[in-house]
Amino acid sequence: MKRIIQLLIVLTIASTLSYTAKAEFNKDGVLEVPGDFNLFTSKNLQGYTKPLFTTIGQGAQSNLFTIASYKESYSIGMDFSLSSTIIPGSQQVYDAVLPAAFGDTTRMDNAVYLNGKIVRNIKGTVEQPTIYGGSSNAIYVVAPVRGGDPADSIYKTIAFNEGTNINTMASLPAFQLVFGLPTRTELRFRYLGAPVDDQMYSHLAISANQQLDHWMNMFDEKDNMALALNASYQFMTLAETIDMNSWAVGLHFSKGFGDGFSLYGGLQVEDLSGTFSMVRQNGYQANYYQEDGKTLKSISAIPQEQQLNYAAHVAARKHVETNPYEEVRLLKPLSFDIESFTSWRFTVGAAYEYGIMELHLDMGYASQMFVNGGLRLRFKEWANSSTPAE
Amino acid sequence: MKNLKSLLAALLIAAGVIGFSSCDVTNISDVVLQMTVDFDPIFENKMVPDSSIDLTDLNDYETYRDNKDKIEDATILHFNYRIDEIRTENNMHIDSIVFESVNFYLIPTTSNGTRLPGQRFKLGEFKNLHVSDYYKTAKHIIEVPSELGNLISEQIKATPYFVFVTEYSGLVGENVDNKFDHIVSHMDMVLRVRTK
Repeated sequence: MKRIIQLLIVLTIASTLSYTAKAEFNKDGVLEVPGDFNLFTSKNLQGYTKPLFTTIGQGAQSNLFTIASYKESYSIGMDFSLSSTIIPGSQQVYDAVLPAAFGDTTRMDNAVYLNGKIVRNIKGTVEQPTIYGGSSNAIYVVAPVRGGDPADSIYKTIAFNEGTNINTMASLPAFQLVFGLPTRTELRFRYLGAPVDDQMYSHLAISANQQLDHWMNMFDEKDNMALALNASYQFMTLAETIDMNSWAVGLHFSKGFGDGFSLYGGLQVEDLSGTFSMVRQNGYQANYYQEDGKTLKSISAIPQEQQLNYAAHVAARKHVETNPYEEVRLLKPLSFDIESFTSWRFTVGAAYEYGIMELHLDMGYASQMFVNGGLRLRFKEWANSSTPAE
Repeated sequence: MKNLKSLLAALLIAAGVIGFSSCDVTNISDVVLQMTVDFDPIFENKMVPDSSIDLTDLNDYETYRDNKDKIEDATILHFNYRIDEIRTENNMHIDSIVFESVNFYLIPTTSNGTRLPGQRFKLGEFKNLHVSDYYKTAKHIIEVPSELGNLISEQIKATPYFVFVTEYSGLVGENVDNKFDHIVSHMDMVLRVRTK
């Protein structure tokens, strides 16, 4: 469990500096998770980690712009920014899906201790903490009930992972190369690489900002105001385990007040999607199961390099044969669609330019409130004629 | 104006420092698990008042085995008690069997079952326990006070062996059947385990 959390931290705070996390990948390049994850089904792990992926997604789409006024010149620079988010209470819990028979009083009796009260025969879902949340609520189970089917004895008391009681969380640091074009366009590139075991986590981002107002003569030059469009596309991969991408489109506006000080703000639509795939200890990927999704294919139908694991898989199933979740009993992979709570954000900030340096700090409203800040350096600038402007 | 610039720059830096220093990045590496430990004490051929015991070795639990070297602290949160089978010598009807009280204790032991001196924690009790109300039901949950639940934190790192004692009082009423052929009960206990 800890290794997986460490891996997620790497994704969250991976810097451009070399950083190595320990993780175990199977021969298919899929992350193999330890037995602690037998507390999770794919659906419940998705709910547990969704706020963390929201932080990752928000961080990735932060620090895309500052002042909306872009010069008619070529330039080269860099920007280093940090991002911090505040986790709302609503993202500290999720609805955990219960095993199928829960609530069927002819087969079982259950009770959960919630806020000092005993609640009986719950079914469907129960509120549990996300990775940022607090205490979880175990469910006490008796099965079979009087005279019931002994097969129902698989329904046992179950516990859920707790959260980490986190209210604020740092997101991806962003080291960006920034290029200015004489079309009042700015291109930003960022790449984060982090070795994880013998695999490489990669995050590549490209974003573009285009000033618009001068085409429509929207503002007087003396007002020192500007409006620009920003768009970004990013993708993040780790072997066969992580494949996610994110996009954002928005408008931003700024007003300068002389002596290098400006205020800026923007509205942005964004999304994060992809898949997160892991296998349980001694488990196999979904394509190693027959069409019924339950029966493992014959050993001869499995690639040779994975055949060595076959006996271990069969033995491992014995250890989980009384788990109330069928997905765990079958040692099926932990795989889910990556989602984010954030679909739009409003940003407001301030920037201060001094020489080649621009200091910027902004904050905003999204599903997780955030603060971003950083330093931008413009190393070189050329006028359109290819003559250095300064 | 130069002072204003310096002030603005200082404000931006200060806001950034405050914003980012409040992050709890390191805390996310703390993994907090809940594990369930079950006890199946059997009270056999005995008169009440008396006790039944069940010895548990946490090494039998995968969650503990996988994390025991990394445990920072552990806490007993709550436990559930139920009766699965009961029979008195003269086969009293289940509705008539009422204990004045049933008390629960946890005692750490060494690997060979030797109880550690001075270590006996009373986890809770049920008074006026009507057996019919406890028969194969999940609803009787006792929350263990945090100060008591935390007491086992250091103990769990030293020894993973525990005896769970169920202490049965005498029965309520007169002309009752105090000798039991057996009382088969079950306890599920939930522990919070924090690993670093």
